[in-house]
Amino acid sequence: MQISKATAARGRPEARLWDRARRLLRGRNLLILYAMVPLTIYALLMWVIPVGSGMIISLTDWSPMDLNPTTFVGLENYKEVFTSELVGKAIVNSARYAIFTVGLGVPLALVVAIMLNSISRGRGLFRLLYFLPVVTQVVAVGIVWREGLYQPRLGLLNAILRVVRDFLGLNFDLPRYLNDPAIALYCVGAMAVWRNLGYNVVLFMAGLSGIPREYYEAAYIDGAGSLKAFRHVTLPLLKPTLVFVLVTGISGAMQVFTEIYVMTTSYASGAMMGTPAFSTLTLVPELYQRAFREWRFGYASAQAVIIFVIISLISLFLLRAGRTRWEY
Amino acid sequence: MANITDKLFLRQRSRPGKLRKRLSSIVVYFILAIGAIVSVLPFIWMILGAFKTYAEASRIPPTFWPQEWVLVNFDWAWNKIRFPRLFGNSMVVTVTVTAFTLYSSALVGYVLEKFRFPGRNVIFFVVVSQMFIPGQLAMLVRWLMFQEVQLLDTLAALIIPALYSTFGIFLLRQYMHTVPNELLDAARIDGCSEIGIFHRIVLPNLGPALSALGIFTFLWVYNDFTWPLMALSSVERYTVPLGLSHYQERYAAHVEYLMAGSALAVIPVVLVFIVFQRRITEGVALTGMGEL
Repeated sequence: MQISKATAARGRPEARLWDRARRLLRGRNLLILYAMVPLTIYALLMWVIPVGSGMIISLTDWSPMDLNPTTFVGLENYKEVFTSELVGKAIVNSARYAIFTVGLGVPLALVVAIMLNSISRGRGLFRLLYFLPVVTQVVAVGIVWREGLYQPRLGLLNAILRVVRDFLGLNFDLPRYLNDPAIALYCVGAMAVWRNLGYNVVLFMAGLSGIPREYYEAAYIDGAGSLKAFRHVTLPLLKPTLVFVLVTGISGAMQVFTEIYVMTTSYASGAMMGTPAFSTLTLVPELYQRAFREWRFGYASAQAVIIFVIISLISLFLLRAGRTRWEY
Repeated sequence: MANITDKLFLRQRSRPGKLRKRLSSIVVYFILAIGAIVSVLPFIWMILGAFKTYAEASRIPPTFWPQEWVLVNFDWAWNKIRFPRLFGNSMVVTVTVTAFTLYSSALVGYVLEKFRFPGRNVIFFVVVSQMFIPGQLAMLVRWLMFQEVQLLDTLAALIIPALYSTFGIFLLRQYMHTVPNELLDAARIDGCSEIGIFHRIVLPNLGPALSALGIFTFLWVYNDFTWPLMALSSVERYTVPLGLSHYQERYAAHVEYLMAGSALAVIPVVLVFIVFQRRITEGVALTGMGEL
């Protein structure tokens, strides 16, 4: 039907042009345009322009609340980032937080995954229970941990500790958790480890089930013990999973915000994050407070660029170090 | 499935006796059970706390089991912080974003994988690079853009930045090889239009990938806090996490209120999770591996 129409119209030039335009907008071309035109517009507006102008803004003193014209300040913002005491604290805290959550969470998840793979009954039930915290809202469980578990007087943890202390007849001071600058950041991290454990467990279980059983048999025949088999069979073959878990874990931990906001914002004194005494102030909360308390978008953008650079360097290093040199 | 790691705990060469094998499996179950208790205990404490009276919730030392079960805390969460409204706002955003993300990811993933056209590599590069750029850099400029068009403090400000998902596009593009080209060609010969092929052949064949992406998008959007915190300022438009955090400060002295509010936020998702458990954990494995 369409073909006969097109052949009939082929005579006149304007009809031929119309025909060509129609053919361009038909079939696969129409589908490609339908998929790509909205995406291109969207990508420009939501991704390319915000990221690009974010980098430009980091070179200015731009503030949405300032009526003075924005001026170009060169690398001033970056100079301030590198000399700021708060940013220095935030970088150290972010590193501590990332090392704690990844260093505790990843080995723990690996051990649980290996145990779960080794049992014959109840695997599904355990996986369900371990995964439960993953699907919950950070804000909701953050409140539960802060007010329900960590609260020094009313919280569950100190209630348990009190019972243990009296039972053993010991005498020690109960920890103050989020109120103690020495351990507050690790208390936030413990909640994050608890919440993310199940996710990594499931990833590791999938990775473990992909290792052929024969490899272990071969290792044992060659005289390897269980530790040697773990080191020379499990770890190398699990490397892709391990690298993935490490990269996403570290980059997520370096960008932690919600956990810090919910668990360390003081109820008094101007609702600042990072209490007590900036001991839990990490990079993104610091950026957020510069941007939305002081409205210094230029300076905050410079901080965002620095965060981007730090995370990219760590990820590139891990991906390079984790590249497998053999195929299996 | 192979019980690979039996061997990690039992030295096979020394041919362990049955007793030793049983002993070590008891130890494994014991450790796993402790871990499971730690995973669940905060929820149990939350639910028990939500039923306590103010007097009991502020007693030192705290009681574990409520002496008197009361519903007044849920009444507070339901009527005072208007939980239904918070939940409604969250659902409007979450359902819209999830539906659109599934469709857009499948469409873009399909076209990027199965067709060659000018600009394809540029678009793919932008999508992939966006996955590696932390969100904070774009958020500040995005905030200004939404302010300029008067969309700040609307639910649209939460929906629009999430309509396309770079992760979703990437995942579904990888999954597209499961749709055989022969099937598509057969549909073409039968006279199906290209857009029709996408809707009638490609979409129905993406089941597992779409359900995994759908579940994750749903959880991410329902959980999202940073951008809504920047974008919203009126309580009427708050989503669940924003509402909870807003009242957390105000009612810090009422632990039992906060437990009830948190329970309302957590329980619906936990119930959905228990129903779709297998699919969700399989989805984690699928999506996690897909990204590398």
